[in-house]
Amino acid sequence: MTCIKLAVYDDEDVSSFVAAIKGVDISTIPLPPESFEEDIRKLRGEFDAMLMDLKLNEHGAHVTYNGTAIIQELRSKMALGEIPSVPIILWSMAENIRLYTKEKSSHNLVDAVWKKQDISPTDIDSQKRYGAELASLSEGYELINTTLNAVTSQESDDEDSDSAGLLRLFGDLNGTVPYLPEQIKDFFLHKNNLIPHTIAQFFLNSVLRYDGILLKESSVAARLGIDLRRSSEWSVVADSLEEYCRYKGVFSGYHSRWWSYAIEDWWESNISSNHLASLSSEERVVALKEKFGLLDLVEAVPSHGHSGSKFWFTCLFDQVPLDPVDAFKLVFTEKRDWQDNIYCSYEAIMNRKHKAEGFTLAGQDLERFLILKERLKDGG
Amino acid sequence: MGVDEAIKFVGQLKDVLDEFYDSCVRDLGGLDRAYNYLMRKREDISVGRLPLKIDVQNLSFSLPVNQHQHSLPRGIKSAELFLTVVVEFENDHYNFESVSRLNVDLEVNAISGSNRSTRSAWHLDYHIACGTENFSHPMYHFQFGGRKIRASVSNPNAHFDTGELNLMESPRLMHPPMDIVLAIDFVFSNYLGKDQWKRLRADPRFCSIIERVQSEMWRPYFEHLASHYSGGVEGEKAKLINPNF
Repeated sequence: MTCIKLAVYDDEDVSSFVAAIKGVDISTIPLPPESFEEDIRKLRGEFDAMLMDLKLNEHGAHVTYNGTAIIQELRSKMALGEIPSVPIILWSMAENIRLYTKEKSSHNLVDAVWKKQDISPTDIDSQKRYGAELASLSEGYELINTTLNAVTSQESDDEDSDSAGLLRLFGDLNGTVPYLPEQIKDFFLHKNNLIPHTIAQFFLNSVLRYDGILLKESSVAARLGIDLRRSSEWSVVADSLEEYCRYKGVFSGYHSRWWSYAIEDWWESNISSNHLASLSSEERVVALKEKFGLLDLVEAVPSHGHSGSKFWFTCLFDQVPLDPVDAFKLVFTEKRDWQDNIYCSYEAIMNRKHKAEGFTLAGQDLERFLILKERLKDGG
Repeated sequence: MGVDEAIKFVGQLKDVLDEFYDSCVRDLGGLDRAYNYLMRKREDISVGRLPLKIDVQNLSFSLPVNQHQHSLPRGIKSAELFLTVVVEFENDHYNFESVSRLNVDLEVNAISGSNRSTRSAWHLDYHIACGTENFSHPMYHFQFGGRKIRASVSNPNAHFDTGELNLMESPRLMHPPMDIVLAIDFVFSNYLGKDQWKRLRADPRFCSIIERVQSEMWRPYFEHLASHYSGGVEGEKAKLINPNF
């Protein structure tokens, strides 16, 4: 992995924060804010990534604009090809980020949002995670830029072949092109979307962020009925799924995902013609143990406030497995066709984790939660 | 009807039901997955390497509880219905005569006025009687309770108290076969209320789909039954459909 030239646009000295990002070679170029035009000029340099602060006048700099204004300008120039398209990571103190997340229009401008307080000066694992995310973003943008250039340089008016070229960004699956629903392919047919950061945002926010066509590891385990934390032999099953189900497309170095349909196909071909969703976790694990000759695979059990064991979803906040029959559905207005609905657990709601992230319970599910809460309070 | 037409109608069905997300539909993920499955296996199915199969798991609906107040225990506060429909054909012909497997599971989870959690489940089964059964098995029959409720009896996490209610496998009630379209129509007409059903039936896409499906799945069913009275070779299937003839 080559060294990442990182522009750090911040009004305070953050070298100690940046030094805490481990596992990746970084060459930092600090750029304290001076004036809008001057800052834009400096940021047009040859960088692999940019780390941008939100509030630029807290430490003495006399500027009247905030980080999002600069980012918007940069993205316009990137879209026009005036400057190279690179990942932009927004970082700030937690209170500032809360303000940022309320400003929905800025959501599609940055590729990651880091809270400065979360970068620990001592926890190596956490530091490596930030490093891995940075590396993945940088590699991902490089791949997107290369693929986009290769496709558009062919100078054909054939949108289909452009789009087919870009679909390579999804990686291959078991030596072939993965299945993609029409609505995903449609995205690549619109010329306005063929801008590197728009494509990057599409992958990060619409394909990788929520379960649907792709699944997180905890969701794969839930659908196979496996208790991830207590099964030391999970890796045997995961290895078997690697070639047949693993997502190897852009950003996959950091975002571990599996193709959801491939899991179902794999189950049907290798284990049973009974659909996974129709079996309890116990039945699923018994079948897997038999197939692989395993002893130490433990079935997932319902968490507090739940009783169903035909797990399908995972709690958005806790990652605990949820049976559709007693999962609590959240309002998800930006849901895309290829995404699942989002659900959470009783405990997560009790701990108000959904509220902290700006989610609300859907319709009757709120009613059902309140009744359950009453009942459990009464020891029912 | 072949695999291509099946793919088309499943896709259209999804579009039709998407419009009910604001009212009674809660989760259509199972329909999406069934559609994606057909799209992926289209080639294999059309050359006979794989059978035509539509497996829709756990569609969920929110019931209009104010319209279901004549129920016990009294005073339903909230109710959700989960629908699973699995239909498989011997080949790629979507038709009554080619059905090799058909299961419909309808499960309602409701919370009563006294905050009690309650359940009911109906199961539509396809069964060709082999003569050794103790009780009547119409070719397509409904059973109350079914596997889902019985399974919860053995689930250590759930204490299923049937109270004074008796749950038997009998009777097995004769009913026309239902695929995903017919099952959805059934759910709307029996559980979601007149207004929603009217709205569904007012959609020309749905009307066209259900007409097609009824012609493939119901017409042969009823013609076999009618042939009991008109005589002829077809009359034999009538007894399998209705053992009480």
